[in-house]
Amino acid sequence: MDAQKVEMYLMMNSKYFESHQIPFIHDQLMKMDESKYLMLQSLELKDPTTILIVSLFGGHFGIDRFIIGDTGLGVAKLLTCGGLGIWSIVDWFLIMGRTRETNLAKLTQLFY
Amino acid sequence: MKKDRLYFFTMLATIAGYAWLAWNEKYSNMQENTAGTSLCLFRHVTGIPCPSCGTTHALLALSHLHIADAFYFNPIGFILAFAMLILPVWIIRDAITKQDSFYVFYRRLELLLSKRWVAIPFFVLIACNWIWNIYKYTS
Repeated sequence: MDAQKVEMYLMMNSKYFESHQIPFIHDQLMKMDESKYLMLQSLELKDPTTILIVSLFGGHFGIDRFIIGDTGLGVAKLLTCGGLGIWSIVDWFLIMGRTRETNLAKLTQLFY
Repeated sequence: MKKDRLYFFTMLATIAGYAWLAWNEKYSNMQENTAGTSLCLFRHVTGIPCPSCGTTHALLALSHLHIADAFYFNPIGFILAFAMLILPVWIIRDAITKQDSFYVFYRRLELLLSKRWVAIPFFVLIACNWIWNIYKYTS
């Protein structure tokens, strides 16, 4: 793909990924076919900060996990009172990293 | 989620569940329908019980074979009791036979739950249970 487009994409979307993954994403995007550019643009990535806010208020019911696609864990959290209230607190610290992970997983589906 | 992590955390959660039940059985007066110790954040913050409040009561009632009481405290208790009995056995079996049947099942369950015709009835049921919970525990 065109280097300028890749730079632009990374500039706009770097907050959705872990910073140490950016070089990998850059390389993969450079290798990617031009025809996938539209798909790349329309990819729905979740903003870690938004998910953190959801986690603070609705994490007890597992809503944060449902949104990022961890449905099984969401159900587990919902049925166990947010993991006896402990898991929901732990998730306030883990959820941003996990959101970036799922974003990368969505992006890598496009690469291969 | 990777397979090893899923197995590890499921085991951890089950052990924590049993420990929590044992602690409650020993140190709090669950039999006399008192509020008991609650770790529920939502309940402490808002004063309203959450959809799964009362599950500890339900599980303890089930362990004494008081089925009707368990249903009254919280029907979610049945699901959790089932999970707590089955999952450790399943995971140990998978570990011994070097299979990944639980992982495959978990993945299928996730896919199933993301379908609309399953998700909507599920959340409606949870919401009904929540309304019943609020009615039971605040009046």
